[in-house]
Amino acid sequence: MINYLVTITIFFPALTAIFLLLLKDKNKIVFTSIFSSVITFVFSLFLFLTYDKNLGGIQYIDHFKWIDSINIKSSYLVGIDGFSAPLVLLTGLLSLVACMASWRIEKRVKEYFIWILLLETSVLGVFTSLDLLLFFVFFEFELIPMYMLISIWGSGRKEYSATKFVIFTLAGGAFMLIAILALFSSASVTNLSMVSIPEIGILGIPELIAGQKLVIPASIIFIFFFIAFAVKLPLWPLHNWLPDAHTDAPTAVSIMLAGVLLKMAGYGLFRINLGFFQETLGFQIFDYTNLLVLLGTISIIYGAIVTLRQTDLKRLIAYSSISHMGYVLLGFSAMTNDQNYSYYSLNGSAMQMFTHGTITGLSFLTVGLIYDRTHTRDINKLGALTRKMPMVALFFMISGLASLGLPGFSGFVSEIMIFLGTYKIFPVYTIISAFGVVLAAAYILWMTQRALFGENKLKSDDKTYDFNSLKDASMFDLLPAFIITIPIILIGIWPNIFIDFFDLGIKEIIR
Amino acid sequence: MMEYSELIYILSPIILVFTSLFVLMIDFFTSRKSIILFSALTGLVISAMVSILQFISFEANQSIFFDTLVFDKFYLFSAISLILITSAILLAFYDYIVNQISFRSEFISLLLLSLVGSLFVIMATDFITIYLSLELSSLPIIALIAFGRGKFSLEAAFKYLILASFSTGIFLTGVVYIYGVTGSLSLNNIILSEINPAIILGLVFLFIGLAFKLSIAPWHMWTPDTYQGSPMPIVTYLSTGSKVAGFALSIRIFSEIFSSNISFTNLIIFLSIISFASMTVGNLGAILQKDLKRLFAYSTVAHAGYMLVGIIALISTKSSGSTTLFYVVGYAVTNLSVFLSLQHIINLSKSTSIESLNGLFKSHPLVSIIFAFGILSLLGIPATVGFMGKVLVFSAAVNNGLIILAIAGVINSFISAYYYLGLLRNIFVSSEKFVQKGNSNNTYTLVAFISTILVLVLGVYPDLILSSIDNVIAGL
Repeated sequence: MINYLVTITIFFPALTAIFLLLLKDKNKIVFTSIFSSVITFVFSLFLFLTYDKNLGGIQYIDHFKWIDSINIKSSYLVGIDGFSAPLVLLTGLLSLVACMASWRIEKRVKEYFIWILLLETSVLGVFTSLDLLLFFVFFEFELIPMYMLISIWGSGRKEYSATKFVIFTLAGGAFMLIAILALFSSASVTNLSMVSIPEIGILGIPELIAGQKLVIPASIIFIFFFIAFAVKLPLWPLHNWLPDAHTDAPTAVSIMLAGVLLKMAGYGLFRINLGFFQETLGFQIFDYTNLLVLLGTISIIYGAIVTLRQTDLKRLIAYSSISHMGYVLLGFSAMTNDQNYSYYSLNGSAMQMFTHGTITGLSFLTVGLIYDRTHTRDINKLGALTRKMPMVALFFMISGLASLGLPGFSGFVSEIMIFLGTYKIFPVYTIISAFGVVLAAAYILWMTQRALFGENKLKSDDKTYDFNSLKDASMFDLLPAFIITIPIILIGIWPNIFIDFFDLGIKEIIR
Repeated sequence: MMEYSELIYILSPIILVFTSLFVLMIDFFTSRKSIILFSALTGLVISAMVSILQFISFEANQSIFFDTLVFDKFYLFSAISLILITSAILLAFYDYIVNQISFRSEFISLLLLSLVGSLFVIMATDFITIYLSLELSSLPIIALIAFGRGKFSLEAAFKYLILASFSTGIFLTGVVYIYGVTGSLSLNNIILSEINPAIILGLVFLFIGLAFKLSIAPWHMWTPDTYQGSPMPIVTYLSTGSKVAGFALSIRIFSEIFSSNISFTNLIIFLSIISFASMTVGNLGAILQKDLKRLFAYSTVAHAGYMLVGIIALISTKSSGSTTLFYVVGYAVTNLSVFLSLQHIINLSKSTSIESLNGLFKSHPLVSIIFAFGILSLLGIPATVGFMGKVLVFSAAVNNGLIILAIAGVINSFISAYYYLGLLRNIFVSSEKFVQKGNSNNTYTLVAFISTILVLVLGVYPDLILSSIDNVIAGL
């Protein structure tokens, strides 16, 4: 096992960002950034492939003392387990795609890539840090790159959307900080490690708070954490920021936002809400499953219905994200003390995080390609794009079909697993949620039919773009789309590569 | 018995007094501007060195001068921070003092005297001494505010004068109550073994007197006006050095008086309301401002509220004092970089309105980045010292059962995101062009850069000073 590999993976993008300060030439900056994201991707792939599934547990641990004061004790503790390894891989993959998709950027190139790389560092930090305060640091740090990326390189009401995004997330973060401090103030908690690591003699919070009295009731701490993640997931009724942020963000940022940033919330739900609150005194997470499943179902159906009404391609995909992240919560809420069922749905929920990351990444990427050429995302002005850009249309179709859960693509695997697991526990909610799939089929097919096929609907006096001179995307534009399609199809036909990992991780979180 | 050897313990204030006199005298003999500043800085550096040496070779707490002063690690730590901050201000504002202040030797000399007062404030353990040194630290400030050439300077100085004397009166009233009940003026002898209404009343008066100086709402009214009217070196000193001295004094008083095991529920509730009011008034007030100096004045009020949270926690557990001390030192470092870069920007734009920041990043990237780091630290974004300070202060609050106050504080800090991000938007996002009307000196950026590095280093690795702060508080 190689020491410090996780630390290197986390901070490699940030170091590249510092190195970028020295560069002046635009091409060099773009090349260095893409090269750096390739290296980071290789690191994350290496971590994923060399994670020893037979051994299990936390591997590649880096541990240093960080803050050792009377009032707070925290350590720099990073590592990966079966649950975080696929998400680290996802981050590496999508950051690579985001960097490659940004090579056409003209405005303030250097700053743009610096922020993208810092964003990557902070997301990698969230998925690998095992200390609660460190987790929070990375979780909050991501705001500044996102604010800058949306408000400078965005379009439309970009400043409004960026501020809205930051305020919503900061509000959620405020609750999380209180929850962290409340946990630390409890008499039995001596360190902030999120998991127990027997190899280096660390007892994690789940063990430390089991059956102990906390400073404030465990249910309130649970709700505080839950609010923070519900904002980020996003869950109805806290989803309001997402459509605006997505619509106004540049393509690469939309990819990062939908692809990995939303997954930080799902990760937090598993690691913290599920991990901590199984044996707490007076309240267990199992008491709230009815509430969770209700919120998940509302998100699925509400998101899908609102999606039906959208005419802006990006807004449409953003709302569909709300619906799809609802599945994550649906699968998540089916955890019970009976572990046979819940493994299905929890695994499905974790898989949904991964597959939604890749599928939505591809959707936003292709919408970006369409927008670059037509300068519009209004479905009423598009149509018949298959004739002029067949390759872009092909990838757009793939993302659409995968998103509506067509067998053979990854979306099907995760959704069927979620439904299999939840049906036995919440039959009514599952049946209602299954209509979300029908609605998804409706909005996806309606969108692709109107935007890609049929006749071009651009009025003759509208000068937004010239249909006849439209050209298909170049090879270099299509390369990221191709890269991101590989996992979508791979998981569709061979889901076990990831299920093994998630299974391992979830078995350790559920005790 | 007092012995002359006790003078060694107050060596750094003595050096500063002589420096102050030397600066006044040398003005008669030379017309070279740099000599004045150079001698002042030399004095500051020597006294800082003395304090550092004393800190390193520190052995045991010493009560000196008939138990009116105490020489301990807490004093040394605060003194080192204060002297270094003042030196940084003098160094950075060299250009300003030389060109925009007519009586520059008097200016420097008064600033040094105020610093001496602040040092004694931190040392004092006797209410009379505390009162005298508080006056010594605030009277020169009144004159210094009036040095400004703006149309608001006299108004600002007069407001500060009236409110400073008023607050001193209230402070003394509190002292009278405490003296009446306990029969002692020395902090060491006052140990509250029972809840006595007169003592609580005295403490409340005492606190209100201090709250004026610390610009805690609702006694913050002077802050925006004074900040707007004062010369920038004084604004910087008020929001950094003065804050360190004031909160250090609060830490000493609160940790000496409340060393018993009784719970002071009513007092804690009173202070919690004040703290909440201060955060809220500061943040909501700042949202409405259009002038940068006034905006940062209100931000100071809000931050005083956060720091008060740590002081309240101190009533229950003594070790919570380290959170406030860390916060105030971190805040001082942050504000130093904010105000220095602000002065640089004001020199460039000749305006203090928020709109004058528009498009700054494109024409002046370095100062924009330094300014932005300062703002992010004030906002409490991770990897800055402001974040660590907030985490510590709120953790102390939660530790002592003040969860609602901690929630209020955290919610307040995301309200503050609105106006801090507004500044960042003007600097980085705005597509307007920066209107440059003047030139500036690079010393501001240089000193601000150094403090920005401190902001980041302390934010990433707070243990650098945190363990010694814990140590210092334990020795109180």
